[in-house]
Amino acid sequence: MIEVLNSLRDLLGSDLFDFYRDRYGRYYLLTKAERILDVVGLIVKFDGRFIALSANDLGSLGFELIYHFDFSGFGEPHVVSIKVRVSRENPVIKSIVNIVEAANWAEREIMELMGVKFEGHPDPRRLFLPYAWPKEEVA
Amino acid sequence: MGENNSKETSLKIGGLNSSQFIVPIGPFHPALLEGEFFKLKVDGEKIISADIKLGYNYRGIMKLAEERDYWKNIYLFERICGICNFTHTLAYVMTVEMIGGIDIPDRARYIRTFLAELERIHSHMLWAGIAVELLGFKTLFMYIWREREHALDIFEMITGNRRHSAMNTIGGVRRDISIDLINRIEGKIKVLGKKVKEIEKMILEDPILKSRTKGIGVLGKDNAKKLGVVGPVARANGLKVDIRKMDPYAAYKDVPFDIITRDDGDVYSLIEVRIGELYESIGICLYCLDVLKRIGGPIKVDVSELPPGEAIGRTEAPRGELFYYILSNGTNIPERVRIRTPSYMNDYAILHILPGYTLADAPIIIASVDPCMTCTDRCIYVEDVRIGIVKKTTLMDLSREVCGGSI
Repeated sequence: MIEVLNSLRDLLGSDLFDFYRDRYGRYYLLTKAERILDVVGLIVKFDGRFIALSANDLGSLGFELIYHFDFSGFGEPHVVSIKVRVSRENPVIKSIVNIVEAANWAEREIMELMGVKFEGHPDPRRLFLPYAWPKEEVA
Repeated sequence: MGENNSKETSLKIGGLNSSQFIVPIGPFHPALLEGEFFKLKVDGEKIISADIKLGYNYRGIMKLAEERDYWKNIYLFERICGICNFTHTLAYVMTVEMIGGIDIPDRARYIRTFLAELERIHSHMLWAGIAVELLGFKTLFMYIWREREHALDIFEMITGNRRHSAMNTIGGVRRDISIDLINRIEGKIKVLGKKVKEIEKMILEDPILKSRTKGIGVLGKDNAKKLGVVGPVARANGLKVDIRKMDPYAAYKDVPFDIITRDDGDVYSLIEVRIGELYESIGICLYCLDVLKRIGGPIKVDVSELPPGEAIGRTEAPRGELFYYILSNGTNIPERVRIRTPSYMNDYAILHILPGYTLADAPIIIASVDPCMTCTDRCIYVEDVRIGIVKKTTLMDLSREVCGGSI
């Protein structure tokens, strides 16, 4: 686990804005949205298992996307959550589906329900809403 | 996506040539138990590619959670899934306890573990019943579901309800199990253990059932890893993914049990894994009851305020890893709740399993991952009302429509 964190630190350098660990073994990192592909590429190299993609609406601060990856060995409950922020006016981020296929539905879900656009998603259709649902504007 | 859809990219149906056609299954169909819509492109009998449409049970639960306080949310999340409601509330209250830094009493930890395992027993037996029914064994289905009643009876003895138990609360559990009750439950669980042995023999040694399931619906270890499947589907493909061991919660740290894995990844090994887990669960249940006889103490602690913060809670639901992320802003209402249910990962894998098998195998392959559509469709955001494209309809309006205004 220390290896993974050190490599992430080295990779991000000054782009690592925030980094902390809670008492339950979860790590949280805040970085730039432009670096997400690098970070996820590194995590895949270390065999991290994709768990989920969350999105928080931070109001005027934009949207916060949280990529949760599992690094649990037995008895070590490590979850690494990578947070990135996209602006409210232009909520666009690169899709990670080409690296992590498990994120396919998660990105589609965030796309239709939060209005964040994932560039380069191979299948950007509606997931839960009907296909004929009107296109929304970002409020 | 073009004509030559390989197994990896078969997400859209693609074009058709003269010998191919599309078989729609769903959204409401005898072979499916819940509302989902499968589109299967077939060439003769062989499935070439598959696509799925979700959203028929869309309830906006994650958005609803942002409007209710922490206590009311327990009952909301209990209604996400009818089969695994205990583990949903368990994951939720655990995450809230993590935000507040609350440690729960030992007795509550063991009661939670006991009920979580009891739920696994009932869920796996429910699945086994449905699976054999889809293969044509109607009597065996009845037989398995009759034995499942033992598990539901125990639920009723402890909580007063067969399914929605309302046991979990922030800081512990709501009802205690008395010594007298423990003795009665112990006898029932031992009976259940004997019945599981009989069921195992009937399912696994039946030549017809074996030929219908062996080598059918293989996902493969590489695909399983790539798609991030969880629970029995991962374990049947040789991946040791079990949150009970990886991220021990409740009392799992102190309870001895094994992770059941198989390497084949077909429907048969999924049955084997689930039956193996039934034995493990019965073992855990008996162990917990034994401990509950010895330890006393309170079953919950008082919780006053929650600080701002965030936490991630995970449990091993009967279908796999259940994930809750909660962001607290210090008020009595959560800022954000994100739920990732196990079926969310496993349903996606169905699309990768189906191509290459025949149409007749499709129902059992779909059922083999134990898809829980209500879990998957629990879902998130209501459309922005300011744009004015949401038509809000109340239940009363609907019944007026149906009954011609007589209500």
